[in-house]
Amino acid sequence: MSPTRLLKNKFLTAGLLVIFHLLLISYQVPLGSKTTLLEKILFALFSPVQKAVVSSGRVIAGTWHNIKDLARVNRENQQLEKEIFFLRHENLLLQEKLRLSLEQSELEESLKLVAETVVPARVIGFDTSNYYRSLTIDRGRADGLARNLPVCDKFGNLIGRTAEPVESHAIRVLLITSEDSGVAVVSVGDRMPGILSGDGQGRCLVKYVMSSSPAGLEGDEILTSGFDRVFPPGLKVGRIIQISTQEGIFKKIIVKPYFDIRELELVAVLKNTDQILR
Amino acid sequence: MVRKGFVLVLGLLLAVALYALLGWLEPALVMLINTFSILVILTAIVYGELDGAIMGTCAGLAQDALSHGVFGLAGLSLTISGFLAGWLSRKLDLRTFYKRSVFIFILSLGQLFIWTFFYYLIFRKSLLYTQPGLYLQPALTALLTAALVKLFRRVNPTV
Repeated sequence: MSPTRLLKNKFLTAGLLVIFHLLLISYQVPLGSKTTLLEKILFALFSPVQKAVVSSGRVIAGTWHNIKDLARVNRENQQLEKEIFFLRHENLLLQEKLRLSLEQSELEESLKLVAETVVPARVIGFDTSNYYRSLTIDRGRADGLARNLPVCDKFGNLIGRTAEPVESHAIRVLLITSEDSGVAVVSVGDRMPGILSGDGQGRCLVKYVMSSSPAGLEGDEILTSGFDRVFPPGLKVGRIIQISTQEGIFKKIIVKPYFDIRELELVAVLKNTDQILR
Repeated sequence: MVRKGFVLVLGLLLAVALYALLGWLEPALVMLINTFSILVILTAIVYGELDGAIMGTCAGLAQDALSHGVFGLAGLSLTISGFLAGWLSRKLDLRTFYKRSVFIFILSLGQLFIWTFFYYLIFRKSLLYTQPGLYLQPALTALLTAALVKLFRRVNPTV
């Protein structure tokens, strides 16, 4: 039978497509979070579309807001000019204080290091199956990004780490609220260590804390511990909102992350974290 | 043939663009409105079961590539629903908006069921529990797709 005749048999074609998908799934499942070549190609193909749409949307929304806010901005501008005057003076004083504590070369070096380490990026897409699982940002290999780099929101709170697929101008970020994530954390109050993972519903759980352990305080802040050698120590993660001792051997510790998924427009990827922390 | 291919590729790009726009406006909208599912069912009703199944494969793989899950899962459910949508729409009387909406609602529910069923088989977790917004997805897909089919037929009465 010729290929064109085969294609005309609708049931056979549909059956072949279903088998193709079942083969894809059976090939993907043992790979876990690793991505296949076909997925990488499709990600590279469609992420520019996402980027273009979000960028255009931002430009249109920005223009509309600019027109709407013209009168208010004028008033604010006068107020801000006054504030800038005082802030400039304060800045000069602070710079002077910094110069006294650090040598000029050291100061320039450390500032240069910070600028090279933080890569600002914009969110261009959310996960289609669960938006608390992953998102896509508009920076990639061309900006020196690779997998397993910490990603923070604009306030410096941890949101996740970079993951595959890595394209030249797009990369996926696995959020800490995903069930697949794992972050070594420690509580500020009683230095309780644990592994933080997401529950897929916007919250996180600190796992493997024994029920018999007195550790864990409600309201306590959670920071990264750095033991996983992926996230540098001291990054703010969230706050414990509930601790319950279940029948199992481990406590159930629920953490509300500091980042808000709806506020994630601009994020910061931290590369060469070992250098900046040295 | 070439014109139809061009329309289908354009449709796929539009689905990705709309999905990105919805996510940018409000992340929860991505769960409520599945642009890929709408595209597949629309293609199947307008062009037939074969085009529906092929579009199901393409759109499903695009959806899988843009999410951190098992690659092929959405592709499988959309291929099946694309084929069934085209095949059944030829056999049933779907001339009114109401009948079309009910038909698409049942199909979309089936597609969601296949997807969550395979997801549960692999991850042992129910997506319907973690993402309750998914319950509304079939209703919205039905209304939007039925309206789009009507619009498409008004613009091009030959299809």
